[in-house]
Amino acid sequence: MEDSTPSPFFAPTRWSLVLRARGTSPEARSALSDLCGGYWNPVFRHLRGHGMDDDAARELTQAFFAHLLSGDRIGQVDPERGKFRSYLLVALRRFLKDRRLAESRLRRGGGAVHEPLELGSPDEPAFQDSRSDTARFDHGWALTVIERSLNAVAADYAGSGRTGLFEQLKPWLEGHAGDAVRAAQALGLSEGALKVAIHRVRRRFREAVLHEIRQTLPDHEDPTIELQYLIEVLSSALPTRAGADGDVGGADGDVGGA
Amino acid sequence: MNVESPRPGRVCPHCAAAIPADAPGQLCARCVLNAVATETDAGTTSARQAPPSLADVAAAFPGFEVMGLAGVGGMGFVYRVRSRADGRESALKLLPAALAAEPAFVERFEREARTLARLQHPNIVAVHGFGRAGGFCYLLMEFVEGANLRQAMRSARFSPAETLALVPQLCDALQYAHSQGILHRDIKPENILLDARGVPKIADFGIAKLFGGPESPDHFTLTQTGQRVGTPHYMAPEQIERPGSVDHRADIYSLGVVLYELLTGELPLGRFPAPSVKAALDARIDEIVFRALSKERELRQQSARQVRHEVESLESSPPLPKAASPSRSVDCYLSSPSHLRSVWGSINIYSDRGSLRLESDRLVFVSSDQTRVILLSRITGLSVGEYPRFMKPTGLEYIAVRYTSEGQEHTIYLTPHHSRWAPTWDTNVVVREWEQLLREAIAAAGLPQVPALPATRVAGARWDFLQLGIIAWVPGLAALVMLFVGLSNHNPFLVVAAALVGGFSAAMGFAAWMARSKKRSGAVTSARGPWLFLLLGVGAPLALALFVLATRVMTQHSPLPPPPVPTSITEPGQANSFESRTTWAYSPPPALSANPGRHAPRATDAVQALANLFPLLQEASNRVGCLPPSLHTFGLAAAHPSSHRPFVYLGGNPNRQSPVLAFTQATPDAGPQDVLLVDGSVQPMSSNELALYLQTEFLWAQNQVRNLRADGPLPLELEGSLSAWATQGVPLPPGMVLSPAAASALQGWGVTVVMDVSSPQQCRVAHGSLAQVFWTATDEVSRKGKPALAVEALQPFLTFLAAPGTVPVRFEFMLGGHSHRVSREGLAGIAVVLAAHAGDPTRLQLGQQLLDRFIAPEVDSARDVTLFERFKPGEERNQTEVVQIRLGELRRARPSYFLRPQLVRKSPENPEGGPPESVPTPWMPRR
Repeated sequence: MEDSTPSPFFAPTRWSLVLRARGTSPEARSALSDLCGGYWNPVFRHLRGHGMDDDAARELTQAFFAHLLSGDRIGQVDPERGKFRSYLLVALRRFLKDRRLAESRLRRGGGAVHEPLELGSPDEPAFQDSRSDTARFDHGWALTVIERSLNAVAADYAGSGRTGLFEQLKPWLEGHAGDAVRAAQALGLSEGALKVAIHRVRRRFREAVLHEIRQTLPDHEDPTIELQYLIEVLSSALPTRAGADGDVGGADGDVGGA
Repeated sequence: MNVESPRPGRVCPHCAAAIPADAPGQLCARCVLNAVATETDAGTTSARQAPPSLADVAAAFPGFEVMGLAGVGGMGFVYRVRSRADGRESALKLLPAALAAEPAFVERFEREARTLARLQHPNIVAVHGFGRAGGFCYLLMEFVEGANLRQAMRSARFSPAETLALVPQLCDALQYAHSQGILHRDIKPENILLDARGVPKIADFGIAKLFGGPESPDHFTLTQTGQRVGTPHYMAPEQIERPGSVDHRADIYSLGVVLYELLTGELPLGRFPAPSVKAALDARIDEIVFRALSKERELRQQSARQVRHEVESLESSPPLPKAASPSRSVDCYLSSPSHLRSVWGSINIYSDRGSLRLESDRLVFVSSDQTRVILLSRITGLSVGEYPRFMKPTGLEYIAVRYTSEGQEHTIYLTPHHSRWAPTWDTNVVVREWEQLLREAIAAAGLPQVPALPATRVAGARWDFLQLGIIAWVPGLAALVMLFVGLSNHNPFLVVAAALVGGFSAAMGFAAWMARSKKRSGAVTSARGPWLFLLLGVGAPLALALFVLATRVMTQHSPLPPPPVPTSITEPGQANSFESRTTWAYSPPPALSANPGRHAPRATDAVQALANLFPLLQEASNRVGCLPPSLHTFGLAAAHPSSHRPFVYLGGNPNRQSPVLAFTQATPDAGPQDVLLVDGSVQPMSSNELALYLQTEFLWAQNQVRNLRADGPLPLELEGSLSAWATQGVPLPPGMVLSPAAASALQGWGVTVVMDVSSPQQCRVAHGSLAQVFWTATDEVSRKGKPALAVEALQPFLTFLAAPGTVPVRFEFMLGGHSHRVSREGLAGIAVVLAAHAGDPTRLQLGQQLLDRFIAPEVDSARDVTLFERFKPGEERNQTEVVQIRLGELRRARPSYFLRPQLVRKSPENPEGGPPESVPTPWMPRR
């Protein structure tokens, strides 16, 4: 059903709005702030994962998003290729690097510009670009996508007063879940009706996930590719803290995301 | 909130991964996303063509609000629309636009749609309207907010009860449509919808006909989306083969497929197992499903109502109590009369192998690729029969079961068994036992006693005797023939093969006999049976084969048969041991030996000529190193002309297929006499015949000598003798008379020769034999330190040399790439060395006596005696190795003396030879 030709029935995605206006129009600003609001959590988790305590991480996340939404930084993104996910990670890295440089300047007496001799110092967490670092960020991202999709579907069901039904059907989103006969009895449905209900909640959830993903992509990009990527991210083992800390000295540069 | 160290939460039931406590929705994130990725839209096949855009559709149907694409199928696109007039939601099915341009199609579409619109049934998706709009043919249908069966199956597996609950409603719908004369033609899970309450509704009635109907042009059979109409897995066989003659029973077949799939989760492809094998079901369901799936529509339920009735009767009558008698199971072969009559059946009597299960109400045969369910109530005949003896000479039995299924009568043969390798008589016990079990089960089920089947012996079974003969006796005879041929040709492989074939034959015969006797006595099983079978069939032939091979190997290791050993050298005129030794070689008939008879000139002349030829041949062979194969077979001839006493003729010509003569007594009588041939037969032959034969041999030999002369100049002495012989015929040179002792010596030697001649492949002459002696000597002395065998092998030569009047022979033979030349003195010296080494006083004495005869006693003991010379062919003048020993050492030798010959290398530069070297095995080239 995914169509390669532009369809007037698909509204432009939020991220494409941001890209198209290079972040300048008020519409784009509002879209970007929506997106940032939605993906506050992966950034927070990422910082939290680098050893900061909750408060520090929360503060830094706020500072990051404030920084992101204030400046004219979207213009640097290639509108054809960029995904919001990649953009956010790159921006986060730059933000952290700039901040670290500023801090070291202050520490060394201020004013003078020093070229950093080394990137990592023992008393600071390392935020270098590395494969595991990206994977950890994307892992949190995938969880957020699921969470937001679930919330969207739950809101739908709540809207029609069927919250209980959704809670009962939720396990079937993982696949076949347990005894259909018992579940049907619990819901007071016939078995056939239960199957229909399962099918519908799955279909709705699929729509929600694809919609959520699509919002973070430029127009006309196939969300199923991003979906596959997120599945891969979830399927590979989550890199551990120790591995991330030991991974110092990677090349510092922009990363294109997936 | 801590991502890194998840608190122990739930474990995912699908991927067994731990789910962190803070996971979204407490779900396994990976499985959730995977499910999203595998869930396809609408559960229908994806179109190759892009669907008409919503805008186009909205433009074509201004009266409706188009809410979205609801599904894509092979026959068009379905949109969800809402009427602007009354707000009712409907499904708008748009057929491919290109078809709307075909007037014939449009006409047909309208005709069919009008009929479809008449269908009003709660389980049929209603058609509200139809027509053409905006270049589309469309159907406006009831919108069912739910899922189709395919999607529902993906959601959760259907329980049998749920499946059966669907059947009456589906049957009602089909029955209703069929009564209206409308066939569905494409019943499949995608076309059966479940609404939100779980009520099934059949969609797309008759749509398939629009595309694939009998009167439609061919190009309608492919939709514009490029897919075949109809779904082969769900189509009845006649629907694929003869689409024109389809009736309502095709829908029943398709319904059967859907039922099967709902019950088992699989399609009934190939030889599919019964549903009750795949799922916990009442076995009676099997029969309903199998009947609906009959290939012949006459065997199916004849109406949808009948299907409904059968299913409902299941629910009304309780299933038979399965626990009444515990089911029994056994391995089983399957066969049938038709299989046995087929070509394949004559190679393998079984058509299948699987397990047989007997339950209280049915008999189930399950194999890897089929399941047969036979209700006990359907069995109409039962008996025990026997497979054709041609295939199973030991008389394997089966249970013949005749039963009706789908209105047809079938007969199958079942052979339950405990092991594939069990002997027939054991298996037959199992067969009888199961037949009894089956009868008891039938009685226990309250069914009338099943009559025995008429005794149907499969064709050819009455020819047991002949068949047994073919299996057991023909190989036996063949084995005997092979054994005879193999033994007479000394071919061990034939003998081994004969042993194997004979063993097989014996085993088969034994097994047949055992089976028959068991059957007669009615005895039960014997634990020794299989072992005897194994022992006879495998052990005995193996033992025989090993024995033959062992004897073969042993005979190969003794290069020469032990020759007759004279105790001493007999002087001319003395009594010799010839007569006494005739017992092992030849016993002349008393009548012949007692009757010297008169002179038989021709025979005697021939013999004398041959005797004359002998030394010449010896000389000639010395010259060429070894006799040519055609000549050596001529062998040796000697006679005792003065007394007309036994003459000896050893030889023959294998190339000319002439019989090989041994010897006889030259009786002058013209009457027939016995002539011993070396093949062991004694043939009557008249003197004239014998003379003719010998003369033929003589002329042939003469010719050979001429050829020899043509090859090059002969030594003067030999040339003179040959000339005299060739021109004058028969003069016997002086000194060429062989004594009986000489004759016996020749015979002792000749046995070797004759043996070799009798097997052309291993033809050896005297020289070859001498080479063999050397080989043996080296082997025996250097490796085993036991020269006794070498001494033994040398014996015939010594006895030959010991005969007075023997011409001074010189042996020459090839061995190890070297030419060896041995004079008679050398041979005597070798005999002394070996005999001393072996500690054999008799042979030592013989050798020393010979030495004394050849080398006068007054010759200085300090002189060296050349034992043999050795050189590479053609390099005699460049380098010759001479093995020699002091004459004095030979003369003084005593048993167990170890004499040390020495090797001297002679060359043109050093004609006297270099410093002597000591050699351990002087008679052989070093290896």
